[in-house]
Amino acid sequence: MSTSGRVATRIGTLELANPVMTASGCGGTGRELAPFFDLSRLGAFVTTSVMAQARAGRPTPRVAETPSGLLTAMGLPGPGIETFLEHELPWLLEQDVPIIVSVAGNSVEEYADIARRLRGVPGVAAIEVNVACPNVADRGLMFGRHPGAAASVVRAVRTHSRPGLPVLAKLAPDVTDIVTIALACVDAGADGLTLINTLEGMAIDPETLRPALTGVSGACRGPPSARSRSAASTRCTRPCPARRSSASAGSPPAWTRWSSSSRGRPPSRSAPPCSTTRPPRPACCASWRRPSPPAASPTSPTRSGSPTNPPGTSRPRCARSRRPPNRARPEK
Amino acid sequence: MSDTPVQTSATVLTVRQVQDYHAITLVAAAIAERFRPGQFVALAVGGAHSGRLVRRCFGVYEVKSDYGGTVELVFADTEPGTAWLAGLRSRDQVDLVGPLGRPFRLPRDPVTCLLVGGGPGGAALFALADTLLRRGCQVHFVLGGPNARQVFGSRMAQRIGDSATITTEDGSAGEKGAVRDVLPRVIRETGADVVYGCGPTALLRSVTQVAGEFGLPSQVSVEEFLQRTGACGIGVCMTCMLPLHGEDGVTRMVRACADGPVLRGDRVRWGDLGTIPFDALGAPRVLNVQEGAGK
Ligand SMILES: Cc1cc2nc3c(=O)[nH]c(=O)nc-3n(C[C@H](O)[C@H](O)[C@H](O)COP(=O)(O)OP(=O)(O)OC[C@H]3O[C@@H](n4cnc5c(N)ncnc54)[C@H](O)[C@@H]3O)c2cc1C
Ligand SMILES: Cc1cc2nc3c(=O)[nH]c(=O)nc-3n(C[C@H](O)[C@H](O)[C@H](O)COP(=O)(O)O)c2cc1C
Ligand code: FES
Repeated sequence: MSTSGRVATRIGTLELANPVMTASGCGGTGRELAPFFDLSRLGAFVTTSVMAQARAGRPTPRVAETPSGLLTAMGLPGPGIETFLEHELPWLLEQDVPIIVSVAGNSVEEYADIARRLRGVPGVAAIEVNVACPNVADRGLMFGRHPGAAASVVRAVRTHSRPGLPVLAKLAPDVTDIVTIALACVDAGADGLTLINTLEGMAIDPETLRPALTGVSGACRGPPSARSRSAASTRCTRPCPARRSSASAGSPPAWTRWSSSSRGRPPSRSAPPCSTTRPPRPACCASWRRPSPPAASPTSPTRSGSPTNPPGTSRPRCARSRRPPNRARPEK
Repeated sequence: MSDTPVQTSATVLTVRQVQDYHAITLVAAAIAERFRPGQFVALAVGGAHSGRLVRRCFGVYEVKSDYGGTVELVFADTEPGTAWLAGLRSRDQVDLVGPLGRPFRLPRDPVTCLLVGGGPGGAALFALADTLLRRGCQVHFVLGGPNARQVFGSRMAQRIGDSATITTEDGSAGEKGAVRDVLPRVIRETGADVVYGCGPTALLRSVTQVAGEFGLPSQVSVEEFLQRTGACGIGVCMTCMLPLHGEDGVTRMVRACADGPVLRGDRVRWGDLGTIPFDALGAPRVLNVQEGAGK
């Protein structure tokens, strides 16, 4: 694979022929995508997040279609690291494409353990640390919500994986100040940042008045077009917090992503006509949690110059009030 | 011919109302040529800029060689996505992926087959019937539904099948009652060797149960479950999981789209559909106090 040419991309020591990668969890085991295009045309293939044990995930329904995108609550289903190493990774490594293994865990030790298991596997191009996982030792609070916790898992993976192997930190978006967390991850040894994991959202079935998902709330993912369409009507002009944060983290990951998953369409089809000036994601597709209690949120929400909006400031109120009466409302 | 699925932009030939359902015929040569009975196709609905990202999965009623190859699907207009499909006109384009999933396993010998269908799901049995008839099998139908307008293909079944038994809940066609009520009798009368099913989950469950009582193998298509739960149809999204009892005694969560939609009826844990049974591989373990506090 040639890394020359105008689209060749470098993330730390990781060199890719082009910047297109699958989003973790959106390429299955790779075998499902292979009939539709040659995997070796990707810059890299990112695996579904792998955990220590097999996990069945959440009961169905795991997906709810909303006017603002798709809500999903999977519960990180997967075969566990053992089966992954035995049955899934070998096939992937035979494909002529760099493989980035996404790792997840419920404890710092679990991340460390998986990194150790991967250490002996030749051919892995990089590790992506999915920090959007509940930390069992911290009452199930997501690692990625806390700079210290996010840094601890990145450090654990860094320490236990092969020296020189690039480590990417995949950040969770529903946080007070993503810059602090990004910086903490970089300090802990991340070579690059992956922005962003899915946003939280919730849909209520208007007939049963119950959440549409078994997991109550889920992750909102969706067509930029559908979201910017609703965002456009509110004329949001604030710059995207996630975008800015990657710049201030010093090493903006210079790649774009497309998730081939559920939509199975090339990104061009759903790209909005004005994608360069895309407004921020409207709030109508995500649940805005009330600000976390001070104990759990060490970063100051009003840090000056912070791209995140302090609660209660002049953020435009999205299409919420114009929502047709029988549509599901976001969680408050 | 290859058995890998393809993604194509298919041209709509016709959309017509059939009883309470809609039938859409699409020109998709590559899919028609690869199709085997029991497989399904996944359609993108709502147009290129739609927020409706979930692909709609439908079994195939019929493939024909006209116009290079067409596939015909039958569906009920139950939600905005299927309403959009029903509103398509000739020459519109639809993004189509297929053929997907595992097909019905076919008997090697010319045996007697019972094909049991309910609602629009019954449509997928006709492609199977054609193949079985060509192999010299006897084909008997049992089709059921709430009323005459919701039993798909009863006339066609009478025409091509060696026998066709119709049941409706309100008695507006055939016998009044449920499919389950007539199954034991039809199995005895026809001397069926194998039972195929496609339709609502409750129907498949009773098909499996009755077939089991007679010691017959059952092959059922969980297409309706896939329609309710699935999102991609190709096996990447893991939304269509159902518990399957393996040969080794271990229950695994499998994908209705990629590991199905045709499954051995006796392997599916029908009572546990929509749940993760506690003894399934990877099921949440009993939480200890520390874990329980968090999640
Ligand atoms: C079925 C499934 C399984 C998954 N499993 C895993 C897993 O196992 N592990 C894991 O780590 N992740 C997993 N994910 C998350 C996935 O890897 C992606 O991180 C996630 O889907 C977001 O990427 P995207 O391509 O969908 O959206 P992106 O296009 O990357 O966008 C993300 C969000 O940012 C917004 N946005 C993008 N650009 C801009 C901009 N310029 N201005 C403002 N807003 C913008 C978008 O509207 C969207 O809300 C899974 C996702 C799915 C759908
Ligand atoms: C469009 C919009 C954007 C918001 N953005 C944020 C945010 O970035 N961070 C945050 O903590 N809360 C955010 N919120 C939540 C609000 O700050 C506030 O806590 C919430 O709307 C409850 O107040 P209300 O009942 O007066 O609407 C947002 C709310 C809306 C409607
Ligand atoms: S529908 Fe996506 S995995 Fe089955």
